[in-house]
Amino acid sequence: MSTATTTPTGGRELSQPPSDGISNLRFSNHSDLLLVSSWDKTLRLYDVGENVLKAEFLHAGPVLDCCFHDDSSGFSASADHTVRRYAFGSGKEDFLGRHDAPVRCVEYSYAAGQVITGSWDKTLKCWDPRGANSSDRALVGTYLQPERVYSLSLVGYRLVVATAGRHVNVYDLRNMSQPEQRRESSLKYQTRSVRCYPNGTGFALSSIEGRVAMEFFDLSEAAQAKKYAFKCHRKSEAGRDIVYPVNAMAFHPIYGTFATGGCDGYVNVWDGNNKKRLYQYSKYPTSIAALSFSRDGLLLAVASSYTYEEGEILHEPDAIFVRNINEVEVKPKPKALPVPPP
Amino acid sequence: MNRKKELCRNFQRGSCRYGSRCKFLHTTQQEAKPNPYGFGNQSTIHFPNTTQQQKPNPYGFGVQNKPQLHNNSPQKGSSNFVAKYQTPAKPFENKWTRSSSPGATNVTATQVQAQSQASDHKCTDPESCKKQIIEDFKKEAPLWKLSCYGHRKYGPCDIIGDISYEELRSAAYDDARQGLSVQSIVERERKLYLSKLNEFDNLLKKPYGSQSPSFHQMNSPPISSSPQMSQSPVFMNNASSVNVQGNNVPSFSSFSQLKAASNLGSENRSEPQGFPSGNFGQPSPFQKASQSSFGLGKFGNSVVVAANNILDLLKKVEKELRKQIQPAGNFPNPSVSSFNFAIRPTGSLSPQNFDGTNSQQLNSVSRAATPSSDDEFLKDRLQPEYVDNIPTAVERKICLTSRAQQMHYLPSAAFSKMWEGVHFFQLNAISIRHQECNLWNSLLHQTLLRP
Repeated sequence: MSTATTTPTGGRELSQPPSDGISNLRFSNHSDLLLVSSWDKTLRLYDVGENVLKAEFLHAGPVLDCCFHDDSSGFSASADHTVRRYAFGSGKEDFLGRHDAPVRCVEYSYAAGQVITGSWDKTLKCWDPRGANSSDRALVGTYLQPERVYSLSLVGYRLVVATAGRHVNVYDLRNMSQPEQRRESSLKYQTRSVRCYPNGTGFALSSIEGRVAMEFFDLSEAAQAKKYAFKCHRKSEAGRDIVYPVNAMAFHPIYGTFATGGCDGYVNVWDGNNKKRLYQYSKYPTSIAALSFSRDGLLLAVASSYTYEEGEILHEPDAIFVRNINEVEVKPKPKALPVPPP
Repeated sequence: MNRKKELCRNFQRGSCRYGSRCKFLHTTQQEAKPNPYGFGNQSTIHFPNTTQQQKPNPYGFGVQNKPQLHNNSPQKGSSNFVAKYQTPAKPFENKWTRSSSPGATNVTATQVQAQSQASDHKCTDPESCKKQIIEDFKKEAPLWKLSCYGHRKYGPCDIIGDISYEELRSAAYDDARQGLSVQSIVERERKLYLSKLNEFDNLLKKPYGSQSPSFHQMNSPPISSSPQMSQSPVFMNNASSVNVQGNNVPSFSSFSQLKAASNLGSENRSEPQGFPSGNFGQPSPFQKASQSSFGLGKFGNSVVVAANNILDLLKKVEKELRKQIQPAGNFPNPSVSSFNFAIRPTGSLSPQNFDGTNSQQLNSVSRAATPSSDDEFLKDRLQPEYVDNIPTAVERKICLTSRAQQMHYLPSAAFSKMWEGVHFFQLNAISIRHQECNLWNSLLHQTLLRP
């Protein structure tokens, strides 16, 4: 835990955080750069090690998602319906394309070399970033979804799309003409986010009802038997549960365990294989909007930012905390039988 | 001795009448026998696989450590087996819960716990569905209400109409950008909430087969046409392609339009301020108003409530209408609706304009400008950028308004100006005076519903 700040909880708070809610944040795959998209219409790049804001890009509307291309550029998805690419060093902005409604998610697939965006206009679009700035040459394909896209996740060649109405589509990026699998969520309420396991065997779905479902791509009986769901982010009060939405999930790149963040302000770390909770971090000032592990799994960025789940109310200021991860917090504890001391 | 090695089937079922005298093996070790139901087997839940005829395995709900399974089985296995053997197809009530298993030390709290109540609910009868729903709502009502809901896992939604908080926030930001006050935004959101809560209530009352896809189903008097409502709830300032349902539905793609539609005072049960919440909350105050005032089911043309200094304006309008109206049964409706549309409070029309233009409006009403110029004027107002992405509605407006002119209604421009002012006033007005409401009511009744 960093001793630089006096906050006993949470880790280091980044300086110059966005002035409005944080919609998503991502660590780079190559370094400790953190890309943050926010409702204050900016896309910000932080160097976490030095705790400094390196670049800031203003949009015409709130930025709802962001992702890295490589260390020098990234993509943004904005409520002004556009998808853009930014080169961090030069500050250059490229226009990739447009949806008919706010663009909710953006992902970059290294395997396919394409940018994939999901929007509330019920479509998924794939873009070739090399065609940026030329009208329509960037667009590779448009794929209609059953409903508005709420969340996307990629692993290898697989893309999982979670939409409104509890639909989940699984695509193979090599053949996008139709989904590889069409599913309904096993959870009963609105899906909040979906994240694929780093080992590519399945995905985790989280919903507003304080539950996370662990699913698998393999449709065989044996694999499907392993799926389950668990309750989390709930508070027991006077006999009933207060059920908080689970907004964010992030998988540890090395151990495969994952952290979930909910509107209760807590971040929990879970071991999916052994079905246990490994750790719970102390409470953050307000809802957790986004989580991201660094590429080596030593840092966890937590966006503590009110997510509007109670409408327009007064709330704690939005902040980004970066905490150093101890191995004990994220390492799975297999069900080893107790070994008698020698 | 050979037989001793075989497992006693009755014992497995929980009732062997030979007891210790039984020739077969009484043991609860499941590994000895390949139990298809797999309860307490090494691997995760098998049971649902084999007993589920209709559905694929819904849950492998949190299997715990193997040692614990063995511990459990003596107590619970038998009873469960009884249940399973007897009615494999019945919605299995999983009495074996994680919390009762000993040595749950490595599970912190009850977080990773089998969902006993909902493991494999099958819609075999409405009662079980209803129970399921009641239990869900009672125990696990989520904080965020504007959600779809499906009582069956992996099943379709019972209540549709998902709104994520980002969508709500985005809409609120857009509205704020267009100049709405925070209070009105909050009102709108609250209405959305209320309508959704009502939907959940309705589902609770009539769970099975009550899947009305209408987002907006409320307890309000049945509005015969809900074609505009059954649209999936894409609200905000979306392109018309998303919103338009066809058949005369006004594509209320912006909340601002809905502000032109307000309640008529006492008849509406929602707040008099009358901000129907976007496309979603729109039906309730909206249609009630329409029913009470116009009887124009579909369109829900409601009337802007006027405040004090509009009174004169209204009286003048009334006079004009009485003079000029043609008995044209259903026609009035679209034209009035077109006037509704003509009200577009964009940023350019700020509230302060109202006071200034009030007198002008009075003048214009009495003026009776020539149709051609008014037509132009109206068309001008219906520029796409003014109207915010509703091309079809725009076309409709133009068409309808021109027809209205043919029918010798009030000059459209004047009327629209009046509406504009009134509309803005309504934005600002907090209280509604009943006399104005009644005046308007009577005005419309007389003029528009005349045969």
